[in-house]
Amino acid sequence: MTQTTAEHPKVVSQEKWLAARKELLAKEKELTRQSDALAAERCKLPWVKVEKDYVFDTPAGKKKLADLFEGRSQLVIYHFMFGPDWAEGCPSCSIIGDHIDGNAPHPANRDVTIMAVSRAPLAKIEGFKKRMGWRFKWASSFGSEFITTTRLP
Amino acid sequence: MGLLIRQRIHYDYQASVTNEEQAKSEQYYNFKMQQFPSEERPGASVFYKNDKGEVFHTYSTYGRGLENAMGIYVYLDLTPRGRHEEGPHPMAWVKHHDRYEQDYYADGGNTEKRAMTAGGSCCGGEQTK
Repeated sequence: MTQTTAEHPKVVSQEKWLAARKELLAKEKELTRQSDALAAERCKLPWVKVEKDYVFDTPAGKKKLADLFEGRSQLVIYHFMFGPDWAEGCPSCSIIGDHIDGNAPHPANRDVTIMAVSRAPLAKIEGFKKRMGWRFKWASSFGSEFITTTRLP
Repeated sequence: MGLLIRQRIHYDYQASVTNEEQAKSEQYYNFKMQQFPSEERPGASVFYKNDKGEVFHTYSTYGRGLENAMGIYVYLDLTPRGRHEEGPHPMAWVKHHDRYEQDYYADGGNTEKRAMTAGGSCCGGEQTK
């Protein structure tokens, strides 16, 4: 949407803009370094062994969690909001889907499989994927199931 | 325990709650009890598989922890108006890419454009059913 606002920051000379930009850059660099430190800490987070045999419907048939890695050692599952009785996936999750689609081949070549999982039945997921023009991997956890009464803490 | 047919990963990793749980005032999401408007919740979970085929859960993130998954926000943050998310909830402006009024692509890729209520996102407003 094109919008104009009457109020905006000051209009200054090129020199003053450069000084202000460099001041902001110093703060941006500080944040980048903090983000790097946090990412390093994230890599050191301890692991929990998955003991359950989660089962998924995929276009290639039923798969277990261990199968979803597709030969890679790291798996990122995006929990895509698409309930069993919904007509379509959530719009906000879809903007994330737009990001995964087209980009997934890059991490796939860095030992990372990125995919989505939803509770909607596979046929609904496939139909929505086609409408959205997406090709990324998306499994369904739809089906009769045993619901755990003890949630992972 | 009954017949164990299937375990839904969503319940264990905070991405879904049962209807009974959703009817309560608060549910467990993003590592604390809080209210969330939908029984489906956004999140990302990370797993590692070793040479023996053992699988480990290493990380999960929810809510604004997913913002980095939307690189396009970076560009919005670079503009003078920023995100200017003034709707009923921050992402209320987001629509399916085939439902925006303005076609970005010259080939008229917006095929849907079905009637859509404002703020129809399920993450903070009405859920899409």
